[in-house]
Amino acid sequence: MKRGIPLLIVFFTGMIWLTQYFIPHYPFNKVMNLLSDWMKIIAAFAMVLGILNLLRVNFIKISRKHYNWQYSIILIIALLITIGFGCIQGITENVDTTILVYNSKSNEVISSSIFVAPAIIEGLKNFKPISSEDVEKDGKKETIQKGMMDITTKNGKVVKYTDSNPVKRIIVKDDNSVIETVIVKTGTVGHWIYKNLIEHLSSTMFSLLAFFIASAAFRAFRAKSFEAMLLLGSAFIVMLGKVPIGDVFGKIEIHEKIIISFPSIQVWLMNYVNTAGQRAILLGAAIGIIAISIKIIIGLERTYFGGE
Amino acid sequence: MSSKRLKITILCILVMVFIFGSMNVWAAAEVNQDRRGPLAWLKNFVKATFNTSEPWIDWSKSNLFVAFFVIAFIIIYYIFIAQSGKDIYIRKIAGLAAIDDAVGRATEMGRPILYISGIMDMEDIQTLAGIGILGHVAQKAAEYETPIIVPCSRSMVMSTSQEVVKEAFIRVGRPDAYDRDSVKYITDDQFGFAAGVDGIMVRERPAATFYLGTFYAESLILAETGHHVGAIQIAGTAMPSQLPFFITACDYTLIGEELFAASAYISRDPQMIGGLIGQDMVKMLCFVIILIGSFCATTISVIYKQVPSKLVLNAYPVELSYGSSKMVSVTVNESGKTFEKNLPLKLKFSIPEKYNKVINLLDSFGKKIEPVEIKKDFAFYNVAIDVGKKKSFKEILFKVQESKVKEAAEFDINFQIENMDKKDYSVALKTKIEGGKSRKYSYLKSFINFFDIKK
Repeated sequence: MKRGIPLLIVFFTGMIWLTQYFIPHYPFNKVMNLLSDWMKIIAAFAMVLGILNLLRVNFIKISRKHYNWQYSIILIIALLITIGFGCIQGITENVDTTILVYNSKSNEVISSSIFVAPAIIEGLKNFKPISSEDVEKDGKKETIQKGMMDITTKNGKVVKYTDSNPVKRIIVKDDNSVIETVIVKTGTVGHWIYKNLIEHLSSTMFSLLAFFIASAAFRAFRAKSFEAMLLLGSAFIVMLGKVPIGDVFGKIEIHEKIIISFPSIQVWLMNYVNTAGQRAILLGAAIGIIAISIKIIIGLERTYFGGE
Repeated sequence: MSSKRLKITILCILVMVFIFGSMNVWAAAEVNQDRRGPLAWLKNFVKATFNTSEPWIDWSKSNLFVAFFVIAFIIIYYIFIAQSGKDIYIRKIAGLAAIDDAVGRATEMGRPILYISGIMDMEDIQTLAGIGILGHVAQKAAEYETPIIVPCSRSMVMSTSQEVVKEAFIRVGRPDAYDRDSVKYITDDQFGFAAGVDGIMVRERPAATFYLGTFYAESLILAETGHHVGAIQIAGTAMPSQLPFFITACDYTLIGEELFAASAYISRDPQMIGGLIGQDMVKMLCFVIILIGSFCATTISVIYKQVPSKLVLNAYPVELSYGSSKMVSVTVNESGKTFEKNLPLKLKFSIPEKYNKVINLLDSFGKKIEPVEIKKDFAFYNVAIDVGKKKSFKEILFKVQESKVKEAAEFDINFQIENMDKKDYSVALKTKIEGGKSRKYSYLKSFINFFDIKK
C-alpha cells in the first residue's frame, strides 16, 4: 500500500500528461494547466518547509556556536527582513510614493519622506511640466501635472526625474492655501534589496567564473596525451579565430574562392565538429529521458522513492 | 472498517471531489454555461466532452506519436526479454563504478561526502535521475558511517532527498545515524546556491563530491572549488554546455544518457538493464536513420544540383530611408505550397562609385564590407547570407558618413542574388541620402527576405 498508491498516482499522472499532448480536446486540454497549478501549490508548501529547514539549521548553528556561527545571525536577519518587506509591500518596481505635501502659500511643509523637504521645494522651482489636467474631486479643483525635475537627496546625490519617469504634482487651491502634493515612482524595499544587493552579489559570483575558467583551462590544456594535444590545438585555433588578430595572419589561398584562415577553421570547428558532438550528446540524452520516463510511468524506476 | 482504510477512503473522496470540482469549472467555461448545481455540471461536462467542433486528435503530432510508440515498444520489448532471464552484458561506466571508491575514500579520510542533485526542481528528469543515485550513495555512506551533506536548491528536492536519504539509512539498519539536517535547503537563487555550497565545501572539506543533475553556469564554480579542497569528484549532466567544465574539473563525468542509465547500472535489476539495452537499441536505430538520411540528402543534392529549378524574384523594391527598416517580404512557392526556404545565398550588389567613398557598408556582424571590384563607375560588393528557416531575413547595414555628403542624392542599389543553381537574379532598391546633416553617422537598414520559387 505504501508504494502502491504513489505508483498508481505516477502512472495515471504520466498517462494523462502524455495523452493531453496528442489529444487537444476537453477535458484533456485542461489537465496540463490543472497539474501545473497543483505543482505550484505543492511547491509553495514545500517552500515553507525549505525556509523552516533553513531556520532550524542556522538556529542550531548559533545555539551550538559552530564555526562561523555569526554568519547564521546575518542570514536569519536578512531572511526575515526580506520576507517581512516582501509580504507587506510586495516586490513591484513602480509604486507611487508621496514625498512631499506642502502648502506653498504659507510655505509650510505638512509631511515629507525619503528626500529632504527643502531640496524638493528647491527642485519644484525648476519643475518642467510635460502634461497638465484639471479635475474636480470632492468639490475641489485639482491640477494634476506630470513633469521633469531634479531632487537632491540627503547625501548630496541628484536624482533626475525625466519624461520616462516623471514626477506627479497635484495642486489643490482654495482661498487660504495652495496644497501641493509631490508623488514619485519608487521601488519597494523588496525590489530595492533585489536590485541593489542580490543582483550585485549574483554578478560577483558569476564573475568568479572567469578565474575558474582560467584555472580549469590551465589544467585541461596541458599537452600530456594525444587527446589533450588535440584539445589544445583546437582551442588555440578557436581562440585565434575569434579575435581580430587571427584575421591578419595565417591566411592560405588555395583557390580564388577558397581561403583558409583561422576564422574559417574556427567556424568549421564550431559549426561542424562541435555541433556534431553536442547533437550526439543531446540525442543520447533525449532517448535516455524518454526511456527513464517510460520506466517511471510503468513503475519500473522507483529509486526516487528511496528504494533501490 | 479499520482506521487506516477509513483514512484512505476519506482521502480518495476528497481527491475525487477536488478533481470533479475543477472539471466542473472547466466544463462550465468550455461551454459558457452556468456552473451551479450537480445536474448543470453533468450537462456541461457531457456537452463539453462531446463537443465535436474541437478535434479529438492533433494529427500534426502524428509523427511524434509514431516515434514515441516505436521507442516505447523497443524499450518495453527489451524489458520483457531481460525478464525472461537472458544474460545481458552492459558496458562498464567508469563514473558509476567509482562511486564506491569515492565513498570509501571519504571514510578513510574521515571527511564527509557532498551530494548535489542539480539546481532544478522535481519536474526536471535529470533531478530525478540524480536523486535516484543519491539513494545508493546515501546507503553506502550509512554502511561506512560516513557523514553525507546534501545541499538543495529547491525545497521540493529537499523534501524528496530527505526521504531518500532516510530510507537509505533505514535499509542498512541504521535509522539512528540519519541526521535530518544533513539534507538542507540553501536557496533557489542560482549563484546564491553556488556561494552557499562553496562555503560548505571550504568549511567541511568533503573528501568526495557528487554533482548529478541539471547544472548551468555554476557548474564550474562548484567543480573548481571541489577540486581546490582536494575532493574526488564525480559529475553527471545532460547539459552539453556544462559537460566540458565537468570533464575538466572532475575525476569522472557521466555524459548525457549515462546519467539516466545510472539507476539500472547500480541496481543490476534485470528489468532495468533490459530498459537500458532497449535505450541503446533506439540509439542505434537513430544512428542508422541519420546515416540513411545523410546519404539520401547528399546523393540527391549531387544528382540534382539545383534544389529549386527556377528562382523567381518576387521582391518589392524597397526605398531605404533613414532610421527605418523595411522588409522585402517574399514567400516560397513550390508545388503550389507556400513555405519558407532555407537556402544559402550569395548576394551581390553594386552602388555608384562616387558614393562608395561616403558609404560604409556593414554586414550583419557590423564588419565593414569592401568592394570586390570597381568598374564602369560602379562598386561591386559580395555578401554571403544564409537565410534561416525561421529567421528568413538578414540585415545589411549601410553606414553613411553624412558629413561627407553635401547634397541629397538618390540612387539605386542593385542587388544580385546568386542561388545554388548559379543563376543571378537582380532587383534594384532605390536609396536616398540626405546630405548636409550635422549628425556624424546615419544608418540605412535593409532586411532582405526573398524569394518566390516556382518549379
